[in-house]
Amino acid sequence: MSEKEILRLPAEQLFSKELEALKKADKDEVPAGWKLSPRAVLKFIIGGVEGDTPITAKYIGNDRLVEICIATLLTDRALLLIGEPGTAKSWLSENLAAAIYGDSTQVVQGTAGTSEEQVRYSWNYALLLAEGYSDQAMIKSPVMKAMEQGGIARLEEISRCQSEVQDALISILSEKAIAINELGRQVFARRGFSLIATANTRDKGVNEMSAALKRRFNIVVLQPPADLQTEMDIVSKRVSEIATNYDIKAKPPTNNEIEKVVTVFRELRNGQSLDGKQKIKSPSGVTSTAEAISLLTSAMSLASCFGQGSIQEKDIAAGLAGAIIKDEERDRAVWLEYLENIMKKRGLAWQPLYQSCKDLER
Amino acid sequence: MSQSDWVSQEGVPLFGVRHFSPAGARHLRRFLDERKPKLVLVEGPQDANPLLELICDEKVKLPVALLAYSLEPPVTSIVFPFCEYSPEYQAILWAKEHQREARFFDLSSSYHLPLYLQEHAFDLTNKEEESLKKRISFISFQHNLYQELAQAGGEEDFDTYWERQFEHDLSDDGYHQLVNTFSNLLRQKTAEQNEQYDPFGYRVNELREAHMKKCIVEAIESGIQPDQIVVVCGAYHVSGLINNQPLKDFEDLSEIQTRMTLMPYSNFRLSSLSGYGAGNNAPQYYELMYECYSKNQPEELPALYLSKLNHALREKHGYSSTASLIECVRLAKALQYLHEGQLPTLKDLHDAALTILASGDPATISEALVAVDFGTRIGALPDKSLLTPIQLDMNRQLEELNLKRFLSPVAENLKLDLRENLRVQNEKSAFLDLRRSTFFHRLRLCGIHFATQVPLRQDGASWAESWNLVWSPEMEIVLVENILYGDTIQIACENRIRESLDKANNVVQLSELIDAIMTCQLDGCYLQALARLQQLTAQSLSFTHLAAAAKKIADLLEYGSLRHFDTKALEPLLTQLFLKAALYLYSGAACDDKSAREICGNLGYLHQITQGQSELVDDEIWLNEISRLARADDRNPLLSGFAVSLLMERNRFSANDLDIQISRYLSAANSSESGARWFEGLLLRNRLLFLSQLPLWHKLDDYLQTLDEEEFTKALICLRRAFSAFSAREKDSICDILGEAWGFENQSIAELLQADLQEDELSKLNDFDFEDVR
Repeated sequence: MSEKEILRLPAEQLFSKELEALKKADKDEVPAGWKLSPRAVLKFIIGGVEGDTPITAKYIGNDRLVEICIATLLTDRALLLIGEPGTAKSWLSENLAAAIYGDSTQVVQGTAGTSEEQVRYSWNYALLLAEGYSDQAMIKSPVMKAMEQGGIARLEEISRCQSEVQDALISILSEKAIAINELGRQVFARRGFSLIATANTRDKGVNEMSAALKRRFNIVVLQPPADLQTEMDIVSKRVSEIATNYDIKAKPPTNNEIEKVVTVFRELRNGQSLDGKQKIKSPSGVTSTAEAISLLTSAMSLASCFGQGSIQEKDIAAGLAGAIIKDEERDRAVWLEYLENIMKKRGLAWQPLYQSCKDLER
Repeated sequence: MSQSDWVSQEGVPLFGVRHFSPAGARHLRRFLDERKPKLVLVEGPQDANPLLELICDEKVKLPVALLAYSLEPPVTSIVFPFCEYSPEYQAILWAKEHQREARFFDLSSSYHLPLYLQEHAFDLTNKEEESLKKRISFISFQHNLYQELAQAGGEEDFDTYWERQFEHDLSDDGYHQLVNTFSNLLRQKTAEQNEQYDPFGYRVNELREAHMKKCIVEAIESGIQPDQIVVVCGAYHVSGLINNQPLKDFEDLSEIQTRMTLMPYSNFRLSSLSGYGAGNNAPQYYELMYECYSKNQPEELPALYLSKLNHALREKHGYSSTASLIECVRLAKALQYLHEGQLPTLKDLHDAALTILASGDPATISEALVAVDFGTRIGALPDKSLLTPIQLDMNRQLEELNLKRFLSPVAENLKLDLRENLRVQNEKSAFLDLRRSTFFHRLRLCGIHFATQVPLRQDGASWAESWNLVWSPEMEIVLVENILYGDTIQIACENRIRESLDKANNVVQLSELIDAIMTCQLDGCYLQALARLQQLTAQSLSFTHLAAAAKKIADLLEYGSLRHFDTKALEPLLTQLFLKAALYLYSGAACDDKSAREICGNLGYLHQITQGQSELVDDEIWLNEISRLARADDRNPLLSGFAVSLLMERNRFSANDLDIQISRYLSAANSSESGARWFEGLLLRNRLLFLSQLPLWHKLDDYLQTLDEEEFTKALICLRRAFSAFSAREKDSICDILGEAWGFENQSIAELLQADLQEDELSKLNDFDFEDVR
């Protein structure tokens, strides 16, 4: 498949030009196993200019957090990114791996069905039965591959794994070695090996992680965007990127529309109006930045397919109720209350949106 | 710029520092060790020179401060704090250790204090507002400049930038050159704006530098060689001392009389002095830094600080492993590497601790951080350093009353029992708590809020008091400022009371002063206060004042014995107050609705007095006046209704009388508002009494039926207020009564009440204005 046919390229290919420019201009010392120096990695993530190549900002938020992440990976500690859903944890993890190691594809997805073998190694049983234990019969996990090559392994949603599986990581992280008893040897990690894990603070969160495992991670908490403007920046940037990628033929949302959507999301998330004067009930789900982004992209595609090519209020309203109402009974009342008490009283500018939302409710 | 450039025209080396800078203190010591000057000139008020010995005394525990206060009222003061890592302090200490001379050479406080006051007085009249705005814009210009510098240096804030660039510079002559160059450049950049936007501050600066110059010249003229002198001053002043002329005379400077004393200071207060000129945000951290520097082991600082933090965490949470601590130090060093520093800054250490020790949750370590960054240290001074009699008195009292352990910035609670402790032999100890309570009340009277009373729930326990004790340097300053009132705390209180007695002009104020006299045990003012109260009672014409004062005096009579005060003298005063109040009752009852509520309260107090101090007051006159009020037509209806209820309590109002009054008030001839208000007043006191009076409710019902829409609305507001005080069960019984009167069954009433309001009804209700004032 050519690159154009692939739905979503990994970060190291998507931003290959930027990585090249950074590598060429990189004069600082590059740690063992890394592809760029720490300062170049920082620039890649928080954005800037390198020569005449603009470096887009991958993570818009507190720059200091990114520094801490890079410093963690410098000291061979494992990094655990936690936060609410939709705060760019996986995105940051992917981009860090892409910049440091040049390969963000060594991923283990944590689910209830994840087994120890996906973290350590497993066997090709046919070959195993035919030829016995051998290197060819062994199927290496992404973690082992990363260890052997001195790269970065990524564990998504580590808190969704069974705790027994999580604990398999404990000795890997202390001794940086996997013992393969069947072959009678150990695989030692090369310099540059590290692990980036992500976890949600909703659901079970990290509270059920064993203390021993928790201690082996450096934990960085990613917050939702601090203020309205930052969130609007993130949303407009991502919406335009995604729209280009999917080739949506509609005009991008105006600042006004983005502001409205982000305002609604922030107020519901924080449980109070933006000026802090009114308390609002929050819905049961998380109204995250990621959902705002997808709402606006789907509004754009609605406009292009069934509308006039630019976003109307009804396009936004179509997605708004769906994004907010996750639990039918409770969230519905919350949403209606929000419409009546807050949006209705906001004034002329909000009337069309209010009307569209109301119309959909009937 | 080489070393020789930081020398005055006469050849005196100038060592510029930032106040409260550990690196500054360490490099200064090295400088002095190399030069071994005969004289060290230190930036500080000249008139503090006699106190130099006392500052360096071994019994002194830092931090302490010099306190200069004026001798003329209104008393004002200015403070100069010192801590272990103040370069100025280390300079003085060095001189003492090497038997050389140290001298303060800045403007004496007698000149500085008026200038300081003028600079900080904000007069918001028109012409001042312009200059104030200019000064504010200059301050924000400076602030932005520092922020830009920090960001250009790759740091988030200026404190971190300063720490990394200057505090961590361990090279031999680094600090001296760097700080002087930096401050000189900054001064050049901001001098013009400074002069334009803050001319007064600019001039004060010039004056101070001219004065310091003058002192340098005088020192040389007295025979000391220029290279045998070292000047220690804020780095900002260095170029001023090089370029400016010495001060000629003090003619146009205003002078006031001042005195100096030493006072203890706190680490906590030091941190709030942080800014771009002085102070820093984590005093205890910088103390650790200075400790490591003095031992020539600067690289120990991260491990030392984080170990202390870990220790504090362990105390709070029960466990925090050493392995995490090791990783923490490594992460801090990795962050330092990212910024090309020599040591991790405080921010690096905090972030590392947050990531590893706290697992990303700031709440886990915030308490421990405060303990390690600030600490709760308070300085202490031996008696001979306390140069004002009132400070000595305070010290003595704290010792005698065993309160020294409460001298801490962490608030602690102390419960007192004012009764005699029968288990103790000695009389003084038996009343220790009572003496403590008196002491706290006296301090509060003088404006010293060392102790704050916490209200206790139980109404009856008047012998129990609960106090929160917390100490801060401001209290010491206020203590010293009280010197104008007297040499001891007791005398200061008495003089303050005397002053208030002269100024008081109504009986309420006087009664409160008498209360203060009793709680503070100020016998000396008692007679004067009584005489004054009698004077004012005779003159007073206000019912509310008289009633409130009567209540206060009655309370004092009840509980006065607790404080060992002779309350007999108050009795005739109560009689007099009560009599006058009763006589002015009727005329006071012709008032508007807002005051009517207050007067209801006062009537309640007086009624209470007739019950509690019945032998002292004239009951007959009281009842007469209340009857008049109850039967009156032309007084505020709320009060008339209230009076009726009072009389009913005293059994002076028969059911027949009540009937008549109801008919009169709840009649068509009367406005609905006044009818409803009368009803409100009636129910204000004793609801149960009226619940059983069926005819009352029937009459009310009849009355309401006669009202038209508009009048009903007006009445509704008052009735709602009246009924809002009822409990749910009482409201239910009223509904039953009314329901029966209207011929409904109990069942359907209940259904009607329980049914949800319809939406249109709800919106009508939403729009109705119930005039909810409270």
